Amino acid sequence: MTLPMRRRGWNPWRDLMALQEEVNRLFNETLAPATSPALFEGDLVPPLDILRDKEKYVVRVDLPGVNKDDIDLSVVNGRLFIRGQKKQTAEEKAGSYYRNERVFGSFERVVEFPDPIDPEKITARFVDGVLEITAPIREEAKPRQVAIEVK
Amino acid sequence: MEKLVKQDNPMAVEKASAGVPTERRSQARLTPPVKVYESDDTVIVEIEMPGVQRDKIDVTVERDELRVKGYRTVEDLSGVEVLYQERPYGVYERSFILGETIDGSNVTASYENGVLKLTLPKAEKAKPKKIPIN
Repeated sequence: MTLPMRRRGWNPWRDLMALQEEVNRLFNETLAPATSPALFEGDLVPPLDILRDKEKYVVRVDLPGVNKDDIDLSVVNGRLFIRGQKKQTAEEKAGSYYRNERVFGSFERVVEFPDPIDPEKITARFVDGVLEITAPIREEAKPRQVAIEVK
Repeated sequence: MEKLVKQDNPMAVEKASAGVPTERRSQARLTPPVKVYESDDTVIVEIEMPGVQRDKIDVTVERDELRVKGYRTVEDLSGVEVLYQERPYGVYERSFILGETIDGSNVTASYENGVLKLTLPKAEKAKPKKIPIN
């Protein structure tokens, strides 16, 4: 008599649990160390990019219709705070509107850089509604090649 | 008041992903948010198109269709690592059908801080007229 072949039982819950774990991990994981910028701090959430090369980080934020003077940038404990107000002009507010998809109000995004930056050397410019912030990386934190001798 | 400006594009912002090659990213169609309001004489259309240089904007009126296109600047990414990306890339496009109440031949446009502002004058018959009482 041949014994029925016993396959390793397929536990349907196992796959489901694995999926659940993956999803949980996705939500808990912060992207590229601690750069999950705070999302729901203001009326609007302007989209943001973070790039880096060997020397510096570059952060770009879409802020169409915002006045340069209504943007507030500051660095606190190595974290970059981008705050401000997007205002409607008096003319815009007075006219009766037919359709509005633009979002106005306050915004705040916080960027935490993986490598320490030099706050004294941060520069920013605002062109065509895009705020571009350049944050040089501190000298001692820049990648260096260290030769290790093997004895 | 019958429809002054009827637009035919739903609002949907496409996000480009970091993995998509630059050339293809710059072709993606983006739908920019729009605000339309009116005064006695004009209808104003504001379109948010950040990252578009002034000379990369096309505004055309053909018969009763007003079409706007804005090409986003594609930044040079050689030697650069993208850590986080939310900003969309591609071409902003939006079109509107102008009703009879708009004078399509006299549309003017201005662009500041990433917002294109179109001023559409109302046709004479659409302007409110005060009727004097004798």
